[in-house]
Amino acid sequence: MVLITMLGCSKSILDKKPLGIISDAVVWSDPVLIDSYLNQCYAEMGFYHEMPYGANQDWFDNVMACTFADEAVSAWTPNPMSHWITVAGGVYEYWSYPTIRKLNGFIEKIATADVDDDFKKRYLAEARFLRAFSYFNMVKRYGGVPLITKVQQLDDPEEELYPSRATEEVVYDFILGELDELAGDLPLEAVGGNTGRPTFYAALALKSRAAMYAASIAQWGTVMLNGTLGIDPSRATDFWEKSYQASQDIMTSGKYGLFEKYADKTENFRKLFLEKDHQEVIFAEKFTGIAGRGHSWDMWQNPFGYSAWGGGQQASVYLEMVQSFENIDGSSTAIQAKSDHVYTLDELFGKKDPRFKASIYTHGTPWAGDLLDYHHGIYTADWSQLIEVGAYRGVNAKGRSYGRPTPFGVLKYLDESKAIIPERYYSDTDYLVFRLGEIYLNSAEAAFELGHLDEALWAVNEIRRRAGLPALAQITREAIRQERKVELAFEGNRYFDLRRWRTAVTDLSRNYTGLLLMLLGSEIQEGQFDLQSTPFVLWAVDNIMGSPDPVFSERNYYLPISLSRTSANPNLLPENPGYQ
Amino acid sequence: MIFTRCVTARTWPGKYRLLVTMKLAIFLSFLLSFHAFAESRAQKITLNAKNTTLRAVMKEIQKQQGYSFFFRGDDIATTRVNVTIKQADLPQAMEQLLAERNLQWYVEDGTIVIAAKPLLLNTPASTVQEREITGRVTDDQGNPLEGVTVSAQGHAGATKTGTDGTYRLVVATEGATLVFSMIGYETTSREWSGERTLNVSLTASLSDLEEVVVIGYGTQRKADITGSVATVSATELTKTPVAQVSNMLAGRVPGLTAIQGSGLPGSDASSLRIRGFDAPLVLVDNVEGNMNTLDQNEIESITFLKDASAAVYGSRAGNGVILITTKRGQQQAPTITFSQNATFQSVTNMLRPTSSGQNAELIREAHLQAGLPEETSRFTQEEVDLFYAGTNPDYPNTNWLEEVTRKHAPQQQYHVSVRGGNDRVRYYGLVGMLDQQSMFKKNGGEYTRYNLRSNVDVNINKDLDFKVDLATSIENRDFPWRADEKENSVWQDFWNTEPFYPSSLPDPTKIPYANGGGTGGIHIISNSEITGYRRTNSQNLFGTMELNYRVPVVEGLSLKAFGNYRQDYSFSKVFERLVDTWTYNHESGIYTPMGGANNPRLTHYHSRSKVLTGQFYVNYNRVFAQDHHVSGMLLYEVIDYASDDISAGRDNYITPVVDYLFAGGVNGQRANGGAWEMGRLSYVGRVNYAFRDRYLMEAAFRIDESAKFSEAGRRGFFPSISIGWNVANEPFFSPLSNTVDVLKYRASYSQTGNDNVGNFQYLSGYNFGSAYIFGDKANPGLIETSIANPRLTWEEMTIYNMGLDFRIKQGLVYGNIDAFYRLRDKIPGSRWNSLPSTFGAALPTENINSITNRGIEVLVGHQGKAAEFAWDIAMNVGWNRGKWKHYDEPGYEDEDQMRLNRLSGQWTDRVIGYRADGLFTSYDEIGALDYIYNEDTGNASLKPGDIRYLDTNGDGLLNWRDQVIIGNGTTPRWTGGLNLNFAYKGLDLSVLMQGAFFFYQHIQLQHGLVYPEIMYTERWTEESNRADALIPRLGGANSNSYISDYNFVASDYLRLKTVSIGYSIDPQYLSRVRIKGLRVQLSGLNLLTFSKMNKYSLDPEAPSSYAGYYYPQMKTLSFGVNLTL
Repeated sequence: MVLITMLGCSKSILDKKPLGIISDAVVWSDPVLIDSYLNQCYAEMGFYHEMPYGANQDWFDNVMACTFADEAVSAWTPNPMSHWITVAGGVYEYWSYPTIRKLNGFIEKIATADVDDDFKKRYLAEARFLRAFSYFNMVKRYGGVPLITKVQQLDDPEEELYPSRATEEVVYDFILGELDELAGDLPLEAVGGNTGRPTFYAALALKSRAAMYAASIAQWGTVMLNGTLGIDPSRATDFWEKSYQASQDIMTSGKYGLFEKYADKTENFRKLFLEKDHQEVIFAEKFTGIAGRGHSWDMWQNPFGYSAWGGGQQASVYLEMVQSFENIDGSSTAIQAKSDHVYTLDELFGKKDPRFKASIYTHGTPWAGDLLDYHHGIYTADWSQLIEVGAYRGVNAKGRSYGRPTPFGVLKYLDESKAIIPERYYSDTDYLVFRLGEIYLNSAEAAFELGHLDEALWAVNEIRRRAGLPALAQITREAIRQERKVELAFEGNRYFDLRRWRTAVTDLSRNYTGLLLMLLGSEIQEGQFDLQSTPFVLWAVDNIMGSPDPVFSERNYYLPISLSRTSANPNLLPENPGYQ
Repeated sequence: MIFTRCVTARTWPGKYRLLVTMKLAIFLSFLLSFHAFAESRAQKITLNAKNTTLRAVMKEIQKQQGYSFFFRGDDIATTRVNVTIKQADLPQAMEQLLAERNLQWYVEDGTIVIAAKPLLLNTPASTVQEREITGRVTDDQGNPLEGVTVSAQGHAGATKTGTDGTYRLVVATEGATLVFSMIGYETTSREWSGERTLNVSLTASLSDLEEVVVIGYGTQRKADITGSVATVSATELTKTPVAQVSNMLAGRVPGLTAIQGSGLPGSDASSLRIRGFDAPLVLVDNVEGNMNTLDQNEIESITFLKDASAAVYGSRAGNGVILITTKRGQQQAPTITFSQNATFQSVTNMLRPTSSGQNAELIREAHLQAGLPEETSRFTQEEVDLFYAGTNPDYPNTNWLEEVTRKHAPQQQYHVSVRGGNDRVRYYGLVGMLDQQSMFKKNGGEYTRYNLRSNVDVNINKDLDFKVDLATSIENRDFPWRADEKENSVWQDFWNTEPFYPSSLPDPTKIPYANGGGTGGIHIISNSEITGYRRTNSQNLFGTMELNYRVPVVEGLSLKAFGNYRQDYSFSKVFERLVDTWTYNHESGIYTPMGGANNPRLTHYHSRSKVLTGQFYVNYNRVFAQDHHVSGMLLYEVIDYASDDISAGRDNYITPVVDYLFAGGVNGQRANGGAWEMGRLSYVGRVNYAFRDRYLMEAAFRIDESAKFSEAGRRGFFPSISIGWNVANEPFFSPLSNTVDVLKYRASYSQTGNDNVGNFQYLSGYNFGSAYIFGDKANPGLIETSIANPRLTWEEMTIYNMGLDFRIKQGLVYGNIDAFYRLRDKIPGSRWNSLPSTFGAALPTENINSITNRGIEVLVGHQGKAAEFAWDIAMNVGWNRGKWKHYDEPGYEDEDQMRLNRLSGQWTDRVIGYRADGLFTSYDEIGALDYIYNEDTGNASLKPGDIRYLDTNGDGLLNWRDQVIIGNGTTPRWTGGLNLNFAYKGLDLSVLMQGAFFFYQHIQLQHGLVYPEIMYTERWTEESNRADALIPRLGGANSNSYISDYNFVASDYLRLKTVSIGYSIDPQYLSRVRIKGLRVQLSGLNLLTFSKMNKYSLDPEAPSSYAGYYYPQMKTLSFGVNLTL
């Protein structure tokens, strides 16, 4: 009978549809699905340290940003990743045309969608904001890139399908022009279920940063390839002005303020990155730690041994970076390595910038009800022997340093309430894409370059005041950059700052230093080990990147467009200089 | 699968007709007329014959009654009779007809057989001395043969064996010759010198000419085949017990590439490629299926259709077709077969880990040689020495391979089958059971499978056959959760499990930490009691009904209806957890927690899929005027597919003891599900014509429609034609006819397809993608599927094949040669390569690429017999290679890109890389280089022990432009097998050597923190300073990891694939205990391997780059007993 039924139904045998696909018409008449369309674009943006398609929030995006620059060394290779950039492509890519196509599609289709005008206006502005952001993430890597603002079709003219690169200047102008146009269509604030959406001020913040980058390129960069790379120095002031104005508009809006909720400066600076939606947050990528929207920062950066899956301290902070944090009195402590100078924790770290204790964990940092123990060996009471094997007086010869070359890990954004992490994608701290602190520093930098020295000094001192450091008496370019380095440490800015300042060739072509702590056995009672008070001596470890020293070449100021892209479209040639 | 020449000249007796099977068919609607027809049988016979031959009379009876008939014995047909029959029923008529003619008749398989009357035992004594002989006739397996005609030469008497194969014959004189004959067996003569008992075993007459093979939607005499068809028979498939049948195929079929990429129980099947093509279509009893879920004992034969012979499968046939046919009942006494095998599996070859001393030494060496500071080295020299010394309990040396694996993993296999039947009903039933355990010692996983089958054939009447098959296989895969079939992560964990940690701690409740890449170690992850499990239960149900109706009014016409319902279920339960691990310092007595406590999580996956297949045939088969054999088939086929799946999970189990969903945390519950459907509709036609067994022609077509494609592009027409010339049957060839048995030329041409592309690519829309959060709510993203391509259709294959079959002097030399050329066009590809990346969309799949394949296959054999010693030796080789005719790619302008990356016009198996010239052995050599490795650091990172690459273009800089072709791909270009079979009395020996050549493997030995031992012994060191060390300097320059001919090496191998030695105990010793046969067998798989890979401690079939990073292939040793009752 089955056979007879089948004969009868032979027509329907071929009448099959994909089950579980939503059609175009349905999407563009339903605000919820339109919202979903744009959600996908948000997810692909990878604000989270700017990795494209960053929806998986995993390994690279967490670790790479700080190991690219002079901040920290990666646990799985001592080589800075810039070594791997060749003409065949490299790391830290952001070629986001798939997302841009989606956004262009959104921008075209929202116009005729069957939804009300306010909805259209806001969503159109959001899509343009994301597109501008995408182009910014590209232009700061590759220089000029093709500027595509419509959905390409296969039968489009060849010159459109095979576009040439716009000049770096045109791309920056496009980004800033777009932001000017769209900002007014974004709401002044996003609250409740809308937190996380860009506001008028998020657009200004992006403008503040992008214009600052453009100004830097104009001021310190070199025009090459007929302007595909570099910006004419005559535009520098214009861009600085734009950045400065955008920063000022945010700072004077009254909507935001530096986070100063807690009296204890260290606690305050830590909570700045752990609490959500506070007054310093201009734009954040939000996480809940559930339903696929958690990231893995805690998993990979927790002190080693407190994460499942061998996670932990994937970035070890260089001693040089540690030294960049000055003392609370404005002085700095030179570490006397491999001498018999006996340190206590208090001497070594007690007077440091509170932001150091809030940004970096090390020997003696409280964690999970305990103190982190980074000692590498114990000198016998008579100093005759360094015990590195077994135990001494009932204390293990080695702490839990696990072969990391420095006893410093990244504490910023680490959530101690998740002191022990069971698996990936569990972190729920928001990633602050733009916070007021950065805007102060952007403002200071632009003001300085424009010659408004007082304003620059004021902005830097505001940041130092909040941090708990004494005010500077006068402002220098170096002081602004130093403040930026420690205030924004491990937030994903440093590498690109060094590039736009064109100082990476000197700042990143070097080796770095690690550190070992040796406890004094004479201070250890049998089986009694007070980590807080046991003194130690320090060994600095030179050249922890191995040999030869890392090199950041002139050409690395731009990533290569790369072979596969230029061969598919020769109009992208010539390749950025130096790549062959 | 046999019938004899005398049969072909006549109507085929039903028994053989059924074995030939599937020729004749019926539509269900004809059931109505069947009733009326059944009555016509009862018609009375009326005839009047005067001096007419018995043949003519029987023809008349056939006309009136419908029975076909058969004369067994000489001169019977020409016996003249005078008889008048009026309104008699059949028995009366036959009685009357044969009265006083010393002839008897009986109905066998719906056929009237007329034969000489046997001499009756109670024949009164005559003057001649008569003696009674008794005996038993069996086949060479010891199975009794029923219905064997036993006669004494030159005497009238004859008898037939009974159901137990025994006979009694009274013979007049000593010194007579007894002749044993039966269709399908070689007629055997025995001198009789007066003994009382004479047992004989008959050999199946496997004459090439008469063998019938399964082909697409039917069977065909091997002699009539015009395509390239190869068959593997049941006896070959059961030579060695294997869990997955595909592992018995390597080396047995010319042009078949079988690569076993893993030894994991339940997932150790070989991937099969015919002629180097992609995955072929596999059909089990006419329906898409999976051979690896079958028990090897239930398979009758496996047929490989390599050219136009596959074309009846149209859009799915382009990569060749594998047809699996299961065993069916036979007309014989019920034969019960029981077999049991005990198998020991052990690793063929795999990397072994270093000791703790060696590993510590290497870690330190790599660290220092990388120029990293001594202070940050993980181990001091003192610690390395402590590991070597092994005296300090804090510096142990744990061999984790030995801790967690066993040398021999057991495997057991049982099967019971019953086979039998009579002229109306024949049946085959099987129960099979397999248990294959993992090499991990403690709860390391196992694969079990149960097979059930019942194949029943019924002759409802002389014209109507009915067939019902039911089969199922139930598979259980029970593994630690990271050790399941889909992941190599367990091997990652293994290579991260360091020998520096003890395998147990003083406090036995604490599990020692051994790194394991964060999992704690392989001792945890390979033990499902600790780490959690992944249990997958899958079952497929398979039900077939078939009706076959021979239309009585049209000779040779039959109708067939076939329906199959197949349902697959899979149910997985995954429970994952990590446990707390500890290190211990013996000196201080301190336990340090090492983390690892995971969030216990349970996930269920449930899926089911069903396939409904309906086939409706019109078959025609007739010989006209003795010379013209015409057969044809028309087929209408529909296949309906549907599947759905559901998954659910919960996290945060407070106790691992209750591993059910309800016990999980409520937060973060997960659930998902989906569904899928597809359909096909096809028309097939085929015509065969043979003239005097000399000129053969087959033409076929198929029209396919598939729901995969849009209405515009879903209909395809696939024609094929093939011709054959049996030269040996030509009259002009007769002078040689005693020498050359077979000489046949074949040629074929076909157009087929491959529709293995995604479904519904002609539609576009949106799926849910990544989520993003606003407020505190995760909102799903929508992602566009891809641009639709309504014109997407199947790949088009055009295959040309030429072949030659030959057989000389009864197998003194036999074999065949085939050569083919295939154009594979319209290969779906995405114009991602040639379109700029700025386009931004996932481009639709389009039919844009094309490949040409060519190859040859040769099989040469020799068989013979001397006294009781018989042998068969056959060797096969196949060569094939593919070339991109067109590959969508950028129009490269750069000469080096054109040379290296351009695929169009190039062999598909090219691999590019750097050319290495050994290792540097001195700084002088490095200093003398006239080119640099790095444009920033020059050669500063190079040291002795690093690989010296050649600046092939001489531009002074070593970069991608210096790459050249360094080898072939990872699929062998040459494959071959050497099959040796020997039999002496009850003893038989079978050996298969198998090899694959011209393929490469990327050697990547290190997959974690632990160095393999081979890296310790074969590495470059300052002391040895060998330019040809297998492993360059540890911690060496980054350039050492470039793909080059240093690490991309030929993986050719020759393997002793199977050996089996069997002994069948002489049935005459067994008949007393009512046992028909008893056979014991010792066999093995993958016993010996000759390969360059041995020097790397690798199996040559290891997946490229995966050395030590996959479950290794196994060699097995089995002992088995096979009992026939």
